[in-house]
Amino acid sequence: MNRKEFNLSQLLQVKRYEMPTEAFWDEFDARLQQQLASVTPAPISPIHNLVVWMRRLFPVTAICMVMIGMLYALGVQHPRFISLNQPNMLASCFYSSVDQVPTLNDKGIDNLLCSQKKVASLTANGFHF
Amino acid sequence: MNADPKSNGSNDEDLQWLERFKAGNTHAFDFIVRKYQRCLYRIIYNMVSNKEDAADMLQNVFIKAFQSIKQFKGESNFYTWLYRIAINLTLNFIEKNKKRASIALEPLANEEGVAEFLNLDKNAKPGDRALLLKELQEKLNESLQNLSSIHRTVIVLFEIEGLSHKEIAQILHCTEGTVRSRLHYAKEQLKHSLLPYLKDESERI
Repeated sequence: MNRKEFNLSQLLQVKRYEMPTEAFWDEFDARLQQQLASVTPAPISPIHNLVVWMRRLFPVTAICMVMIGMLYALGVQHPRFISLNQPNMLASCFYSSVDQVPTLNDKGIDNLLCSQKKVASLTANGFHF
Repeated sequence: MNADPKSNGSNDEDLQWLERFKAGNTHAFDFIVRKYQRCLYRIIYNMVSNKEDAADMLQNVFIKAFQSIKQFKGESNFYTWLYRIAINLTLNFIEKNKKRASIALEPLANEEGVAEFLNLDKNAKPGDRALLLKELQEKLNESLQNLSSIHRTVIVLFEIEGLSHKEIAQILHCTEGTVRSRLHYAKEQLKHSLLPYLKDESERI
């Protein structure tokens, strides 16, 4: 049989005939379905979503709780730290650091004296606070 | 199903199925698989010349496409995008397995059809024809494997899959001129390897 009877494109077309059987494709499809199922993410339920969010929020909540606890403990041990009636500890620290302790000026003293006089006159007239 | 990806309306049809898939119908992907599995297999198989490796690679191609299909924006034809995945994965595979490459060929699906296509002597004994076909098949694979992977890619896409220069350029992200140049070089190499089987003087170097 003569071997020198083909052209290149014709020879390369022979490659198109090298194909597997139909049975191969059935097996291939079944295997692919399994693999695709394994890489497909499962649908997420709303409850699962909630749990995920709770888990994400837990560290933040825990940190907040610890900070509140620390502030409360500090307040019990050092009442001036958070007292509203006493000169504020933090404010004092700040003013002493910048050397600007607040003082009453003359107008303030006048206002204070005026208020005290009004209270005294009201008390004298029988008004009880 | 073995549709020609270049046929009219094929891309529109692909896009319709993709929309269904993106809308949550995972069975729409089956259509894509059935449509492209044979031509993708042929490309991969002819590049690696090993049927087991080709089958594994094809699985990987579809899984990769399945996972990244939402990244397909429709800027190119869908089959171009799919072919690019197949070729990139195959080239990576060839690069990683250079030293352990082995040949495992598929049998010819239709020997009678091939003999008719090649105009083999009808009066020859069936045994002689089968032997010649086997010899041709082995020599072809050997010649293809002697090409560099990028030249082999161009030959497979152009000569075996029948894609145009433009389509190959889109798939490989290069110019049409580069495709023509690679194709010319690859053909010269193949002619040299297959010289004993080529008929015309013009086919020879």
